[in-house]
Amino acid sequence: MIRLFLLATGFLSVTIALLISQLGDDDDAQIASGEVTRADMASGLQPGDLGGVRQTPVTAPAATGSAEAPQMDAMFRSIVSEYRRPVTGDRLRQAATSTGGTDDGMRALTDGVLAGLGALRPAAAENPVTAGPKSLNALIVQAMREGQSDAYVDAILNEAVGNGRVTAPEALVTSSGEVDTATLLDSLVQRSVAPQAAPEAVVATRSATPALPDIAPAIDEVLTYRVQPGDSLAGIALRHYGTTTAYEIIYQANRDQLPSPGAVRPGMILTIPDL
Amino acid sequence: MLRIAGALAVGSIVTGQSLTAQDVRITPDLARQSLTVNGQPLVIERIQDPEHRLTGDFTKTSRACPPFCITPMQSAPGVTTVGEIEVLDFLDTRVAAGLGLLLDSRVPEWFAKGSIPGAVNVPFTTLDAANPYRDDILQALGAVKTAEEWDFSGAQDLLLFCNGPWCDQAPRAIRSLVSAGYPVEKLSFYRGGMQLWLQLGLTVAMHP
Repeated sequence: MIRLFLLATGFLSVTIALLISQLGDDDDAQIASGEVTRADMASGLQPGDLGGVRQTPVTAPAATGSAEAPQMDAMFRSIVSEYRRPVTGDRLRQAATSTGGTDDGMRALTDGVLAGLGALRPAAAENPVTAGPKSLNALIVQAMREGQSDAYVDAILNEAVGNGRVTAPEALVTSSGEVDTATLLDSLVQRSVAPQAAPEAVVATRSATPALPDIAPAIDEVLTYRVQPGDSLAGIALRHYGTTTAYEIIYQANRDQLPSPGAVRPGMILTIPDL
Repeated sequence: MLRIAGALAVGSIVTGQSLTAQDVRITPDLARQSLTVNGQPLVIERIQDPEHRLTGDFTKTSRACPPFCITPMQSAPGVTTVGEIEVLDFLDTRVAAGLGLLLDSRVPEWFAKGSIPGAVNVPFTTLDAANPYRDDILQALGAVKTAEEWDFSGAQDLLLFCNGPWCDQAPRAIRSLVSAGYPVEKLSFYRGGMQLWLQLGLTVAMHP
């Protein structure tokens, strides 16, 4: 009986030992896989890396279309979709925040802080937009300066346009008075491109990225874009490719009418290469 | 008899698992830091894979300066600069006790993508004198305004950090606080920031 018991205990302890080592391995494996995810998250934090963000051509470039209203609507949507691109958004936001915040932006940001500190004032519960600026541009600038997420910017624009508090097309095309979005983009883009030295250097970096126009597969129709007042090549590139540095692609495709990247004039029909 | 042995076996498995060795410890005496902040349980430990390496943004060596310049060890006269162990200790003795706050000075996007567990996001711009609503934040930090004078005697102890030795946002926030009258002995600066926190494989909290 004792022998039998000893035998059973021996068998059990071996089993237990095996089980424990097995579980231990499993545990490690789980931690390892968990941290892979985290490493991936970390690699997502790359405001400077503009490679590989581009999606297939935005449907919005139908801006070349006929009727004025749908054209503006498409343009508006394409701009909204730009802001949805995280990397570009980050970059622009960085430029925007460096120009200093507006009071309304600071109010919202401060309220965010207060919420985090568990001391949100009751007044802050109201939608910060209600008291905010009335033009689309001001909305964008405010949201950017607040450092809001792209989803937030998107939502806020849609909401504002949806309930008629701002009218998108006018705000976008009017170059009189306030900064319009195009010039806003232009100035931000200039700022963000400026420290990167000469355009040649930019070309060099860009050429490292795959799928540049030389590969030009059979394209059914050539996408074109009519330059609007206040447009810059970088702004157009941002609109179509999601990155300002892609202006070089458009520039190269339109060398016949563009002696230099700065020679863009309203009314020009630019070829937008399909990448 | 068998039943007893079975119970024994189950018992040993459970104990065995909970005793699974933590090979990458924080200190010889500390495998992990467990604490409760605002009713939320937090566990801070290190990645256990000895082969793990950082990828992505925090492996960069040569960010443009300006703006990403190397910051001095001292952020402002009288403000203590601390390391990871002191951050854990601050979380344990000050934050968990409701006497202090760990402040992430970066912009909300960065905070969302990963911060030190238990940290609160207070972007450096909101502490700048240019923010007309800064008083609200100072009040939330426990300062009391009495006839043009701020009384900071009941204010929280603050430990600030940002992206690391190449990030000036926490030092700027500290200088803003000091110029607002925040007592320097209530402030400290974790210069290593996210760069060193991640380098050491310490737990990161996401705020999506």
